[in-house]
Amino acid sequence: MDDKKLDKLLHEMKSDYENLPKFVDNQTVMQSVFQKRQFNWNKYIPTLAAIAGLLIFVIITLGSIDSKQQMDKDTEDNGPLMGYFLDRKEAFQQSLGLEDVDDLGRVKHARKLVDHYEEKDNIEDGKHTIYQLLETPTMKIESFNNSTSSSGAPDYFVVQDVIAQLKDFQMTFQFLLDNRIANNMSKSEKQTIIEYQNDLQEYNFPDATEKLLSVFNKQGYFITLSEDGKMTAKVDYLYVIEKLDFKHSKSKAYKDYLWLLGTEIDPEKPGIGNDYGIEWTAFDEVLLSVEEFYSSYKNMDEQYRMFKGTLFHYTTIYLNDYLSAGVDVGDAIPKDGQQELKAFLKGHKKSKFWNLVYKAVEQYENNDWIRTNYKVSDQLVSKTIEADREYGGMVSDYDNKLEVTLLPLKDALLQTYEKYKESKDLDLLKDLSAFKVMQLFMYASDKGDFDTYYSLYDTNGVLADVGKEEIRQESAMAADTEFQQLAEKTNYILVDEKQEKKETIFYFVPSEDTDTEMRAFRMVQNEKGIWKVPYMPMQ
Amino acid sequence: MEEEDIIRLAKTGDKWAFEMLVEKYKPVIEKFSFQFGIKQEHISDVVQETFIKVYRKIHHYHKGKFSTWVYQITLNAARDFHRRKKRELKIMEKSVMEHKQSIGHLFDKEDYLQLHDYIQKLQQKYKLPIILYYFHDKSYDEIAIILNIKLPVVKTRIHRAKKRLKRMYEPDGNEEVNTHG
Repeated sequence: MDDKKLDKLLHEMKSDYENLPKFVDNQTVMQSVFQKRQFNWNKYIPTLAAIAGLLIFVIITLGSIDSKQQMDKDTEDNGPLMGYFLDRKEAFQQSLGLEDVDDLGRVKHARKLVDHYEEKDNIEDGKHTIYQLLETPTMKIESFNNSTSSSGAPDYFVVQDVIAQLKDFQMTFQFLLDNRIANNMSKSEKQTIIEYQNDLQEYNFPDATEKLLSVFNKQGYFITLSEDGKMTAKVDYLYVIEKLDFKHSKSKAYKDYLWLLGTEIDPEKPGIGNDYGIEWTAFDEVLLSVEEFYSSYKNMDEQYRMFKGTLFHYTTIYLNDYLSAGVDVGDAIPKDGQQELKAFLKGHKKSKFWNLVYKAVEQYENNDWIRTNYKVSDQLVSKTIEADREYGGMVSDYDNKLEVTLLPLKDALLQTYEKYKESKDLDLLKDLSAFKVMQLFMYASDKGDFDTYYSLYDTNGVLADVGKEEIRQESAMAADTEFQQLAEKTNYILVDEKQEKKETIFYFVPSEDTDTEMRAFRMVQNEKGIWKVPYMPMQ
Repeated sequence: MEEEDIIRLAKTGDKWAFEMLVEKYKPVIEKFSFQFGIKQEHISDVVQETFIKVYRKIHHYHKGKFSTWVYQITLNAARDFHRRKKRELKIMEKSVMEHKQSIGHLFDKEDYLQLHDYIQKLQQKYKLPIILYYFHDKSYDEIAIILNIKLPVVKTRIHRAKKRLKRMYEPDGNEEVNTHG
């Protein structure tokens, strides 16, 4: 299928979509919007039936608890912690929905702790440890949701605790996977599991397998299959979003962060080899997603600060793997890889990562496209992403990116400078861009040419009341290389055009290897449309 | 009466004005929901949910194209529905092939049905720009606003979506479905 044919097909099928039948009539929509919902007993019958069922269950269970209490009492005679352990184990087993949990490492460990703490006569610590060991993800989530509903805003650390529990439990699920599901399974059988793990009723699995897979779903895990046939139990971050009760509006940042982890960034195997099936050629999209995420939440410090370090670490991995073009250091980067990196430079000029990709491509090009050991650090990624925070939060709004030499002036502009220096004729500036007038100003400043320098100021603004001599004294102008140095340390220039205010701000982004801070230079346009320099242009 | 006036009236709670908006945007929302991958029997729910949201939030609408705002609300409603029924929807996505016959009558040609099926198999981030660009005549700028992504990303995603669609036409190339990622 070629581009042309696909385009044609896409355009043609549009008419079929236009002729889709009505799925709902206007009246129904209006009713759902405006009509007060009447209490519909029919609708609630299933719920009422469920409540009735639950009551019956509770009554029956209470009876059985009575008998169990009697049984546990016998056990408690052997030691006070044993009863607690048995109760907890039963709750754990019910939460998991498994018939047998005795072979699970954490159950065995909890059992050993009973003897240990009883020997030490430290029952309370023993209960605490056993409680944590035998707390399933759903139990943890339930406890999180209950605590947030009573205490107000969910706490990032509490959510982290839930995730930590899910990660901690991953070993248990891996054990279940290895010993009760994947044991002696062919690769095609494993493939079937991957395909239908969320769709259990669509495939006729053996009862035991189906039951176990539903435990994975219920507890927030999914299974991946590597090329070598290894099945891995992984935390489903989308499940965390779905199940956790995020009540606080500001938690959206964290929720979206989890969404990133559930869909694009594989937190356990980030970068090449990730379990989400994302190839290195699509890592640019992961990077752009991180940028989008950052732009959305950079000002929500209290949320964002807590996980930005981890996010930047993952970003570094994805960026380095993207820059690796999927080959090892010293290997030739194939044509496809070269094109991918070049396409990034062409398509994402405004990306914060553009400069880093550019550096890599430059190195590779100079090395006949043999991969060098170019690598970026966490710190550099952090600095790159947060550049606008450091420099006043305006870079993300820039309109253009210039990679031109600031100084010295090119011949044509130098000629204009010489002419203007002689005549101070503003008509010479008429057709010059803000950038070029700024260059003239910088050049005049470095030359110590005060008259030209002063004439480029916008004297309608703050300077209207300030005399030329005052400025002369203030500037104490002498020839120096201030702007020449700025030019040498500048990597590229970002342009922020504020058309409604008739001003343009240039940001000089320094090269990584300099310790220079980013500087900004403001230009304003006068009523005749000529670009001039305002008072205190440099920030 | 101009749409602007209708919106102003709708903001005051005027039923007639709101019905005018339902009249105009319901077919668009139905179409978008269908293309998004919502099962036919659930489209009514998504449409109603969208208009309930439009009604509740219309006083927040102040600037920009109203249609763009409606698309954003529709997209949120469809995504919410998707999240709520995540597992169910995974079934839906995977069983599009099995449901081919049930939606087959909606398309004039087998080719269209096939392409609709392939579009369903794209990840959301690729599927949505394609739908908005080709079937809703949205510009790159509007798509960027609706999806809350940057302009170059829209272009890249449409390009990649087409690349993936083309790959699906190749023998053994039909493996886009990836529930995580």
